[in-house]
Order: sequence, then structure tokens, then C-alpha cells
Amino acid sequence: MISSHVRMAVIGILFGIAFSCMGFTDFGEVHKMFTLQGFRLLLTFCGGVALSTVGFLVLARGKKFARRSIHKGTIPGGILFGAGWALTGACPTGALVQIGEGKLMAGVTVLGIALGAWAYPVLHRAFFRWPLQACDA
Amino acid sequence: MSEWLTNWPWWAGSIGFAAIVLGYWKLMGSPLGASSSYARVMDAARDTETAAREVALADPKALEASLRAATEAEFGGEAVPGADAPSSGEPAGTARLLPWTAHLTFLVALVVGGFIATILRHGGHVATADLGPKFAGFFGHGVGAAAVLLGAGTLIGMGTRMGGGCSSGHGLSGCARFQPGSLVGTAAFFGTAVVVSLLLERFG
Repeated sequence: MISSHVRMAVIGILFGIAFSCMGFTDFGEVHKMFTLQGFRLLLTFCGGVALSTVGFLVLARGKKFARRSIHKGTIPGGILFGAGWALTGACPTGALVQIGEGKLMAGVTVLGIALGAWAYPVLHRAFFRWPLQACDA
Repeated sequence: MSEWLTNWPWWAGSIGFAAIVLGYWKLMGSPLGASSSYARVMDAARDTETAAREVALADPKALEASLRAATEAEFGGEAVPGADAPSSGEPAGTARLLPWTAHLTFLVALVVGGFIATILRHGGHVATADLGPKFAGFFGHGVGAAAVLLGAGTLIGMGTRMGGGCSSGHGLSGCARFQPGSLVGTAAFFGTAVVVSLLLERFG
């Protein structure tokens, strides 16, 4: 059990360092990506997906993963997240890395993300009927 | 100061992303997904009883002991076959559920990673209140900017739970495995972010 914490700590620190060095925590750079004024981050993202695809094909051959299927929340959820990402310049990973970089206002973003993640299951039970997709991790 | 630690060229960033996606999967046995870590931690905050049980059950020895005790209590000691047999271990490719505290560790480690990157880049660390000139140009520095971050952060938290993933879970590890929900989800959040950013540029 301890070792799963150590492994999570190691991969999280490396992810945080890499994410910061890529520039995904810089509102200006992220805004350039979304307004198509710069393609560096977009290429970074697409290249990362392509290399990961090759990696999974080689390393995970014959292994089964939990399927992420399309459900009624896929598109509306994506729309909410996309609006939030454009306004804050941060995805859930980026907001935390921004705090570490000293951009302390990102603490408010993290507070909002935590609040939304906490409140959503309650709202879901009250208003929606489709089953909540189990998380992969 | 250290320019090689700032705005990596796209190919270097791509290698970094793939290394993290594949490294996380190999190390943890489940696909990367930051929003699911938030979800697990916040669920634990809401339901502390389940969270405590989850931490106990994450330890295989504790799980085995509790199952054995429950079986013995129900059927007597002879009903526990192969009690001394060596454990066969986990079946290949089966991901054991990580305790919520491991997910909290991951989230805190991301903050530490950002801190280390800044130290390496600048040879020191300076905290700044705002998110840079572009953000301040749109929203200013004060209470209004904080309100935007809180509201938009809430959209991120709710949207990623509703959609079942974020930029890492859907965008990176999901798209790389051609998961239908991830491909559609990524198109939805990326498309919306483009529209909102263009609106900001036009009217912000």
C-alpha cells in the first residue's frame, strides 16, 4: 500500500515538471493554442497521443481495459469542461502545477474543481437518470 | 534562466506526455486520469466511512485477513480452505483499486512538480498572485478574476465528472486507446474551448 503512494508521488512529480516545461500551465500559451495562433501545444498534445498509441499497441497487446463508452453526459460534460479550460487556462492537472509554480490564484481554480467534483454526484442523482461511468483509476 | 526548461519544442513535449501516459499505466496498472483522482478524493471527503474501508481493503493482507475472519465467524475455522497455501498473486492485467489517499498523493505531487520545475528554471522561486498578462488583460487581478476562476473551476470539476474524463484521461490515455467516449469527449471539450477562447479574443 505504501508503495502505491510512492509510485503515485514519483509519477506525479515527473508529470508536474514535464507539464510545466511544456508550457501547458501558461494561460497565454494555452490561449494561443485555442485561438489557433500557435500550434506548438496542439502538436505536443497530438504527438503525445500518437506516441502513446504506439506504446499501448506494443506494451499492452492482448490486455483488456475498462471501456470508455459514449453516454448522455459525454458531450455536455465536455462542453462544461472546455468552457472552464478556456476561461482558466488550466485543466485539472494544470491548475495544480500552476500552484506549485507560484501562481497562487490557481488555488481558486482548484477550489472550484474540487467543489464541482464534490457536488456533481449529488446533482446527478437529483436530475439525471443515466448511470455514472466508473472511473478508470 | 534555463531556457531548455521553458516551452519545450513540440516533439520533446510529445515524448514527455507519452512517457507519463505509459509510465503511469505500467506503474499503477490503470490508465492516467487526473480528474478521476479529484473525484476519488472528493468522494472520500463526502463519505468518510467508505473511504476508511477503502484504505483498509487496499492492503491485500488486511483484505485477506478480514475475509478470513468473516468466513470463520460465519462457518467456523474448517471452512477456510487452503489457509496456508501461498498466494497466487493478482491475475495479469487486473488493476487493483488504488486507495483515495494514493490519488491525493498524486494531486499533491503535481504541485510539487510545478514547484521543482520553477526552481530549476529560475534558480529560485517567486510567488505571483495572478496568472500572467493575458489572463489579467481579460479579467483583471481582483475579486472579479477570482470569481471567474471559481466559477470556471466548478465547470471543470462538474464537466469532467459528467463527461467521465479530462484532458489526461480522455484526451491523452483514452484517445491513444481509441476509446469512443474519449474521442467524442475530447472533440467536445476541445471544440468548446476553441469557441470560448475566440469569443474572449473578440469581446474580452
